[in-house]
Amino acid sequence: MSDPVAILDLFAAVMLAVAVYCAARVILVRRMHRTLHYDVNAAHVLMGTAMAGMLAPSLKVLPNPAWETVFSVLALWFAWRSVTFIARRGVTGRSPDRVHGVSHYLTHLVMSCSMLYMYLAGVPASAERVVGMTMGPAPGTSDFVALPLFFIVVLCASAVWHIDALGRFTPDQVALASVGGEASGAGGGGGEGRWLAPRLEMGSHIAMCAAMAFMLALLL
Amino acid sequence: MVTEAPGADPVQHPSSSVEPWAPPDRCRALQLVLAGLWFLDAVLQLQPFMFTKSFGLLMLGPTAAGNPGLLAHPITDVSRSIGHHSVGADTAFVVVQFVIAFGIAYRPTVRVALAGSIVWSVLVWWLGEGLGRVLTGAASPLTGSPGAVVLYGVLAVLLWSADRPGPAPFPAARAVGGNAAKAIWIAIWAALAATALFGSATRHPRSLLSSMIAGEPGWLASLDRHAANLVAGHGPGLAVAAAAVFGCIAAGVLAPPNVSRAVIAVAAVVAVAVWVVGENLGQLFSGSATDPNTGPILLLLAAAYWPLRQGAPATVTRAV
Repeated sequence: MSDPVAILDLFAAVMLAVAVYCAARVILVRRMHRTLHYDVNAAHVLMGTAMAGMLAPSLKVLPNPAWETVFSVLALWFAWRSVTFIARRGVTGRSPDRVHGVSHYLTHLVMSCSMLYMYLAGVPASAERVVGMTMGPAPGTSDFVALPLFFIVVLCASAVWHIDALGRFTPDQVALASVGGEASGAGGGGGEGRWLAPRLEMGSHIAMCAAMAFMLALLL
Repeated sequence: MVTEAPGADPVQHPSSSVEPWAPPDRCRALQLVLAGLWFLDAVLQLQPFMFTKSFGLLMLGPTAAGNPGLLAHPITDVSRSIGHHSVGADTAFVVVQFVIAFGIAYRPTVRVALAGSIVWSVLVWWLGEGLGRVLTGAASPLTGSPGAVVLYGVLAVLLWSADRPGPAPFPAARAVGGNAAKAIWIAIWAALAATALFGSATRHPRSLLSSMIAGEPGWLASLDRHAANLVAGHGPGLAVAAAAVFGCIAAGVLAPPNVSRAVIAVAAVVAVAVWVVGENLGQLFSGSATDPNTGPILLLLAAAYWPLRQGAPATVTRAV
């Protein structure tokens, strides 16, 4: 890797792979008699596609206003999901599969807001590619740089949290949860309710956090 | 440690030696914060400036100045080498830091990663930060001396995954024992006090703070200007006051539990104050920050010394 722009291409390729994989999950989950969070996987598809387009202009599939609308809607959706989750189960409550808490939705709310911020701050204008990764804060946003910093911190925390939780879904742990009768989407007894490839989904999320944090860091 | 066996049927033959996965306890949560800081460092290392020659030649190279020749020559050589191979070198730094972050966060590899982070911290502190300039007299704890990276190494030792017999009074005591952990706390804060008192930088706070204004957002630059005006002409007094506060924090860990708890809370407040005013939030908005500076690390250190509740588990969440 002799050119820093190659890093943009690398991240773009990873994001595209994440988007394609998450799309495949949504399509195949019923056929495989498993379960997943459709909204989260759909969000990963949209974010992965949008970020790939930001990083490599040739992969851009929608105009910026369209993406801004998409991520505004997505942010509102995850805000709504967070509020309803807290209303039903409280701040420390868990979802019926015992795997997720409200942080699951709040994290995706932050990710949606991060995407929106990047579009509104003008990052995807693709000019950065021409000047070789010298982005910096967009005009008029230099006093709001605390916002991307906050997003970066949340993304780093989420990535690390997911890496720690990877061990929860090893085959031995899944078996243990199954034997113990734990009503967990992780174990779940191997039937209809089992979460589809949780570690791969978490890996996708970790990669997305890293790529998004990288892009936000370019705005600092 | 559990490894996946391809083709195995885990549902029918769960290993009897496997412990159920447990959510992170406080000790593990502190390890995860450390991992998060490494992750943040890796992200910061991806900023465009780090891929330029300036990173090695203009940012790392000057840290050799004022250090003894034996320490300074390798710094100069390495910074030149990094400057001339900037893209490859920076890519390697990014990978190393991501690997450390991932390794600490992933339970089966936490010890290897912590050990690796200690080695990396020492190397970076020497070759990348010139030992935090503590030997040059130009260092000030108010602006980040002795450097965040050496504190990463200390935290890796304190948060090491080890099960000592008996209950630990606070998370940092779990790996090295209560007395050794207290000695480390005293050493860190006493060093900060000595640097504040004997280093020349703290005695010139106005120029110290004014020098950080360039490139910062308006609100942070304004804060710097106000702080610089406030301390103008009070350099010696500020140095003595800072040394006194750091000294009290150092000694406070030896006080009875209620007092030491208050001292640790004060340490946390000082860490935040230093981070915001003195360190400008680690100059994260400058585009050339490689870490968030010492403020968050000192905060994490304080958390590692905050007493555990009686009856709380003294051992770290086990690797699965």
